[in-house]
Amino acid sequence: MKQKESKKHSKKTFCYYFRVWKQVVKGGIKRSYLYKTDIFVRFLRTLLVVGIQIALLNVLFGKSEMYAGWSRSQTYLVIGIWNVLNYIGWSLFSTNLLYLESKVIEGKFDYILLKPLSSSFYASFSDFFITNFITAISGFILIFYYIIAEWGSISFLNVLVGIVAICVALLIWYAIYLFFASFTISNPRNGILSIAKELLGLTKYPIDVFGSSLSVVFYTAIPIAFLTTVPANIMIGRFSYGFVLVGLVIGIILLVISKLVWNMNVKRYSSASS
Amino acid sequence: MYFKKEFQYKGQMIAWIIADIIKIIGLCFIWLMSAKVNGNVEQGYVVTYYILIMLVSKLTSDYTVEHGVRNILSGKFSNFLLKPCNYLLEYLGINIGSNTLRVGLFLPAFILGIIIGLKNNLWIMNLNIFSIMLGLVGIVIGFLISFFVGNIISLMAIKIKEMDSIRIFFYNIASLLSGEFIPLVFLSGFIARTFKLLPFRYTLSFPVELFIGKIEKKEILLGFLIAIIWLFVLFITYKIIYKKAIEKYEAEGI
Repeated sequence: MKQKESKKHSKKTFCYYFRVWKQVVKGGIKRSYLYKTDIFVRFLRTLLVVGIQIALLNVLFGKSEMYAGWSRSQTYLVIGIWNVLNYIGWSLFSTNLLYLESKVIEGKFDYILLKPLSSSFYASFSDFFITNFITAISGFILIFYYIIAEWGSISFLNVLVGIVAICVALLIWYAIYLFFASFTISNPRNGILSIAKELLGLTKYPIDVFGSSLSVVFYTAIPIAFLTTVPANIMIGRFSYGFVLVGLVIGIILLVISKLVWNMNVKRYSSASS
Repeated sequence: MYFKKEFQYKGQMIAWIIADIIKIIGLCFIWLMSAKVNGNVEQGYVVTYYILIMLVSKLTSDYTVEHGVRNILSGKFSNFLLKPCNYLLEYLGINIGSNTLRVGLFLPAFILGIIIGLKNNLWIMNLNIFSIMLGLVGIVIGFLISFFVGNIISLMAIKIKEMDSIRIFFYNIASLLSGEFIPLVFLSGFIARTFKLLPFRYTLSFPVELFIGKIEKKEILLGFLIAIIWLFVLFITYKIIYKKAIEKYEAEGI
């Protein structure tokens, strides 16, 4: 009976949080009507991002057909996944967590704590930035390019599982960001998010680029290989689907750790207004 | 003042050093792999180039696009206009202070990069006084080019209020054309010529090429000539845009 109640409660909570987030997204979309130039520039930037990345990869490959064991279209896939994760991350939570610092310094974090919501949820998802979402199109373009280029040899199931792996990667991405951002609460202006940014930036290319010893580290101690390399390998058909499950477990563990660190830092938070 | 303000946050400085080390290691691995699979560019050149790019970028960076835009949008720009000296001098001071601090913070990563490079025979820069002097002159010109480009872009905030996308778009273009993403030696033909004609190369890649010293005398002269022409053009452009923009400035303070 108790279990049923708790299930019902968690379902309600999830629905409640989803409704709150839906309103946030609506607000973000409405705001985009105000800044039409911004939206236009974002579309241009999306094309520029794709152009730069294709040019960069062409230079990296030169006349060679393979780069660290990856073909050209496969590398496009890795960068495409990275773009999707990075820009969707910026539109959903990264920008909010970046602004957390100014909220803490100005004492506005008190309002976040007073809301009838989880503070980590509200701090992460209090705003939706549609402009970054537009730039995420660059990632979809590169992923679609891979699918079209490899149409004959691609497995539909691999693509589907690959998409699930990308969703899992987004969870890991969020957990990593939340972990690093949480230290801002107790110690603002620590610059720690710049470390997260550079660390996540490493995953723009296949992890194999970093050699076997560093690759081991990136699959285990710092599991950033699960962000782009693993989903790409699943789509290509090199890795078994079990990797998605491993990624999910890693994502959940990281999220739990991040949440604990968040709560620990909230306890150490001293309001700027007090 | 700037230093005192920044030194309050020592943790931030350590984090920046760590972030720099991660970035430098990442870039070296990526381009080393490229040099390995292509075999067209010396691996030592790539590693030296990226270690120096990181250093030079700290020296030639301009932050006006960030704080200048913020000042215009918040209405604080009026305070600068009321002061008895040109606001550009204060902006210049902020930039020089910020760059000096960042170079200081980058030094541990830079030295580490050189040690790794030397141990693996991947550091190819000779300690040639002439190359170093040329590189330093290149840095000064590069910084001034960045500074005027930054000021021209920031004046756009007087007309366009949502500058985030434009700022990021500008950073992307500048990073691409300055040689931060792709070293110029990897390019050839029309693309390489275009890169050489635009001002961005002179803010980053050119000083690095001068430091490395693997650049012909003719190329050095031509490079300096183009850079100085750009500096002059940008200064005049800034003056014209400032004159027109200031007439429309309303100090609304969003």
